[in-house]
Amino acid sequence: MDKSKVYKSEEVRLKRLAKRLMLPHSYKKVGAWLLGLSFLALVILKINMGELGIYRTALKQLMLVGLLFMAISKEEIEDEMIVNLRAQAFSLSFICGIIYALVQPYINYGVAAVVAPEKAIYEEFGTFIILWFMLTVHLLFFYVLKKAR
Amino acid sequence: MRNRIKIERATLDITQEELARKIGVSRQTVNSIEKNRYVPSTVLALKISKLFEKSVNDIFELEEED
Repeated sequence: MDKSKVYKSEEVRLKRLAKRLMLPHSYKKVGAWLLGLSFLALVILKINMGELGIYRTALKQLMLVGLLFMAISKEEIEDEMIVNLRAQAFSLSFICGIIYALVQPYINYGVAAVVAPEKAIYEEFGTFIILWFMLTVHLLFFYVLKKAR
Repeated sequence: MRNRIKIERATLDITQEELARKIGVSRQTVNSIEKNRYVPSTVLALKISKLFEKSVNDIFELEEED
């Protein structure tokens, strides 16, 4: 099979997938509620139960799902400028996320080494912190870019 | 890139909102294009030129820095 035909069909498939991945505008509210409620549940359970175990992980993941819903739900009028701004926000948050994941552990280690050298250990971030950072940075950049247009 | 959308819109006596509805974008997008903060795609530029019954070159003009 001709290589260019393979590339073309992959391009069409990827574009279709990208379109399907976007949620309707109403999911923005669903995401916000999910984020708020899971955060509230996390705080309440922490106060009442102390150690939460698996519930803590599940609630934190629900918060990420809420943020994801907010990030990939369409605007009321989803035109080409919005698509453009969203792409910019995604690329910025992706780059910031990588830099944050690579650099911040060294900063934390450096600060700890100065403040309390005996407790200073190099610790990489977990998935939750990095995903949380990327999603919030994306939402922030998208909001700022929209307001600045 | 400069454009004459505001002038053409005034000639037709239509608001940003009406123009936005006719070309299928938001009012904010029309506003951004008018203020040269956003350069529209070829498809959108052609829709605008069709609506104003002028060629794309009559509405959009390259500047020296472009």
